Amino acid sequence: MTDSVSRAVKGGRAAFFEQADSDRLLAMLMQLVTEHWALKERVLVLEKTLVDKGLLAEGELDAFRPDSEADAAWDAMSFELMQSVIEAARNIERK
Amino acid sequence: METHLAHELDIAKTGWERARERSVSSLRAYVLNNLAGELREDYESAVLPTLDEPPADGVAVHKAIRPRDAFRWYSSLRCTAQELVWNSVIDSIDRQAGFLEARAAELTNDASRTDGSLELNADLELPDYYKAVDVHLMPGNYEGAADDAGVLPGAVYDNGFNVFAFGAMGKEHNDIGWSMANFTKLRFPDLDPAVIVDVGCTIGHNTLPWKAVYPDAKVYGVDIAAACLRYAHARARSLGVGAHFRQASSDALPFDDASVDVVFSSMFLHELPAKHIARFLAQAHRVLKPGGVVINMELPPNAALSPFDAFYLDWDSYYNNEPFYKNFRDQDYRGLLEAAGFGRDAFFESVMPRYTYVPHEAFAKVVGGTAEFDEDTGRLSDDIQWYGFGAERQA
Repeated sequence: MTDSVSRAVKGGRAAFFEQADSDRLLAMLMQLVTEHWALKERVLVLEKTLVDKGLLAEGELDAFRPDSEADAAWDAMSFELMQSVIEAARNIERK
Repeated sequence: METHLAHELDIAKTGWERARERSVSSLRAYVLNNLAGELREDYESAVLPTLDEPPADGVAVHKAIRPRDAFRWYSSLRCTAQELVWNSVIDSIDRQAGFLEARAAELTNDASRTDGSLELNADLELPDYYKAVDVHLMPGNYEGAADDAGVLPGAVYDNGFNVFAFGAMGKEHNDIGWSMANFTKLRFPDLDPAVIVDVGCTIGHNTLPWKAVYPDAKVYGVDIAAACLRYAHARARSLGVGAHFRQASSDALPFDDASVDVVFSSMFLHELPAKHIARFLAQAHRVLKPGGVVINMELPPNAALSPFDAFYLDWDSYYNNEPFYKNFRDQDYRGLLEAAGFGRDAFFESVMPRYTYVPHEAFAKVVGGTAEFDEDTGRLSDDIQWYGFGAERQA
């Protein structure tokens, strides 16, 4: 990220909820959704490119079933992701 | 996690949808195992020592714990997870509504599959208490929001349950049925039931194991929600189990006096206002033959639990659209059965492991013993134990 274009807004913006933290979290959430979509679109591009090049059949990814080993490993990874996201916030305390 | 159902009402899900279900199930598991543990720890280490006297009951614990961050995190994320459970499956069901209705109709009309049956009662009026809230935040409740929701609410329940249970309630989420039927067989070895009725059966997931445990019995599932019963019937047909589904209120069971051997319910009483619980148990007494058994799988009574555990289970009553749950759990279950006509000495209760998760011998060991309540009793987690209570109908 460069500083050639300003990202700050002089005068700031208004907060509407009782606590400005809610507005801040909402803003972060929307930024995250934007980034999430970017990632999703990238996966779609990847899938389409592979299909177009004949390396993947249409619908092959949707038909994919992990074997039991991968399934269990992904359960654990998905659990760990939840854990790490939630625990990142739970470390914060008022001092 | 297995996102597919082992019957023909299973719908095709995209990779995105399956991944979403896995993620929500992980969130549920994290909240109900880890955050629930932290909530207890916070209460014991930071709340309890500051109180002038130990809380008398769950209400007092609730009051003391509400301002705590641990409570806010647990509660907010549990509500979010509950909403996500339904959201994670509704898109795929909505997209395949046509397929589901056609498949269900095909199964319903195919009498060569089983001798099971479905009888709906279009004149049955749904009670106001039932119409007032969508229980456990399930959009459309058991009946669906549309005038004729077909089988779709059943599909929402079935698929949602899979995500909800994070693997803790058995394959096809039917462990309660297996556990209670096997408990009954072990506890009442001389009982040779000809007629078994599951009241408040929804999609019949806990109804069908009774047929496996008692193959010679005629097994009925009763519910007020037509949408779930349509689904239950098609599901049973697909699984090759001959069960009979009837739309009726638990206030007026459609069976003759002294004509039933087992009346079973699971996770049902806590969804009823007190007067309807009393009516249902009186109906159970009326339809049971002498020597017949009523058995209810339920959350344990508050009186048997520590104030914290009582609060923990009552959380649903405050925050998960379960308005009658706490009032039910405040009752003396033996007293409820006695008021319905069952003998005081005929009462039984048990805390048991999940039948399909333990060896038969380990399960059988608990049947004769006294109910041992602990923090895992009725608390959905990877270590859950079921609670059941009931009575034998004396001559």
